[in-house]
Amino acid sequence: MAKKLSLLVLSILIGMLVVACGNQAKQEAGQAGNKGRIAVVISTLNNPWFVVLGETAVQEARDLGYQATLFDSQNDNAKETEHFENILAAGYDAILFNPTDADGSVSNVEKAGKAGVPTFCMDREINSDAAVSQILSDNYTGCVELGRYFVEQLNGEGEYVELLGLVGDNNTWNRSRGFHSVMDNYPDLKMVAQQTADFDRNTAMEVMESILQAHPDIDAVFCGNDAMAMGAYQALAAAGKADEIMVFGFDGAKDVVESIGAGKIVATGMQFPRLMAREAARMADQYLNGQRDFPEKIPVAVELVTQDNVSQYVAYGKKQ
Amino acid sequence: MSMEFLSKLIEKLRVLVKLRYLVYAVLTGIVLYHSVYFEPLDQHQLQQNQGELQPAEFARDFWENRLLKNLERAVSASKLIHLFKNDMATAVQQYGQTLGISSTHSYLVQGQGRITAVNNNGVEINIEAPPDSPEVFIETRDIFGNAVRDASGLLNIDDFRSTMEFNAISVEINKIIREEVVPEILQETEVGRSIRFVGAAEVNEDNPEISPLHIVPIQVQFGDRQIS
Repeated sequence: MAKKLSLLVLSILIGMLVVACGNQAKQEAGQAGNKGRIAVVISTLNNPWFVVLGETAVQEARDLGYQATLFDSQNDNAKETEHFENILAAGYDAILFNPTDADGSVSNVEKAGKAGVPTFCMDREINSDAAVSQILSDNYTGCVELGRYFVEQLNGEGEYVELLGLVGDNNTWNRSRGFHSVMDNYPDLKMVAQQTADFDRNTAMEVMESILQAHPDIDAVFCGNDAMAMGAYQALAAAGKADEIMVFGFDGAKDVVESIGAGKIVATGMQFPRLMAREAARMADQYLNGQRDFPEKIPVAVELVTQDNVSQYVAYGKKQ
Repeated sequence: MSMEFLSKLIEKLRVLVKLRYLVYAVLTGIVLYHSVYFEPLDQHQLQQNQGELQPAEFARDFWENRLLKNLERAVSASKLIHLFKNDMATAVQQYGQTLGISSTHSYLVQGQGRITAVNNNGVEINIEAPPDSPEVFIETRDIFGNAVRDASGLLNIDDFRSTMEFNAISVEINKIIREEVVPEILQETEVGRSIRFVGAAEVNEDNPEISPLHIVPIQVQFGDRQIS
């Protein structure tokens, strides 16, 4: 009898546990949302800027009532394709997408379109109208402003180096062309080296070290993103030249904003990854609610951050 | 089996092996011939660019056939500066062109006044109009960015394949201004001389820098002489 009683108690306890677990699962699903599923595919999570972009997109999608999952393409177009195949097979409703390559990523977006899954590009552009909309930093204009400030700081003369980002990314060339649209009108400003460092901090440090061997007397370095600016600064500091050579970045990353405040980096172009991620998630929500009329491209202004106005900014945005 | 027969057989086999290599070589040659072909680089680039936008041609056509024929809608500089000082929201709403999400807006502006100063960067003008004779600065050196393209309100980014194409239009428009409009201004400019102008200005609504209002020139007239 006692044995039967203990079995009964045990069954009740297990039953309660199962119900409790069920409730917990339901609660989590509720928190994650039940309007559908959104995939957030990011080119690389090896750069804090893209982590902010991806995590904000996931959070905004969840806040709008969707389940959201973050995928890291690790700057590898093949891995990105694999993610798209898995996302389409798993039946996601929309994709918030930060591509690895302006041309190489087009087929992934087209595949999603054919499967009826809308894609919204964030920050990086694809050379196609296959995405429903693309929300992008106005890199060109941002670098025109940065270029003007660069000329001002160098008094229109000197030797400089340019570190480029990934060559397959339109952002790399929009930044470089915006910068050169100013620079190339000043014949006394000479670019002595232009090399890619793949938007990567360690690569930039190595590239800068080798450039310094050949050109020890440069006056400034323009870097196509902040990760490369920090890598270049590290190389200059190691060579004891951090006080002589001016470093300019682009992004508005935490360490660079702090470095501008500390007088180490001269300036950067502030992009707004949180704004872009939120807008992309909202557009996906509107699309899934039936709206179809979206602008193909939405440029977002970039703001110049210098040692004079850095107090108005925080990492990845403006102080509220 | 005689030794002679054996040596003949070996010789025949050798010939067959040599023939086999020859056949392989011919087959490899055929495969390679059909896999690889050569053409001059300029011809290849020309073929690749077919169907793509030619920024210089596009900008020239835009300048002559669209922009210069649509300058009459430019707002008066004195009116605009007055609005900037007293009612920024109306200035943005009624006259500003905005690209995407931005607090900087572009304006097509026109006016007339007297040249008060000339320096390496441009021409300072005192506008002959009430209420407070504001000043404008006609740029002759810093002809950069997208002020003219965007202020015109005639081009839509969605009509271009990529942002790079859209930005390339600005580069070419600025080149026309730098090579055709600016030299004439520099030649005719003299302090005290009267001047009429149409141009493009960019103003940030949160941080307006309007003293003076910087203008990228599109069309300028000294007395009876028109430059554009």
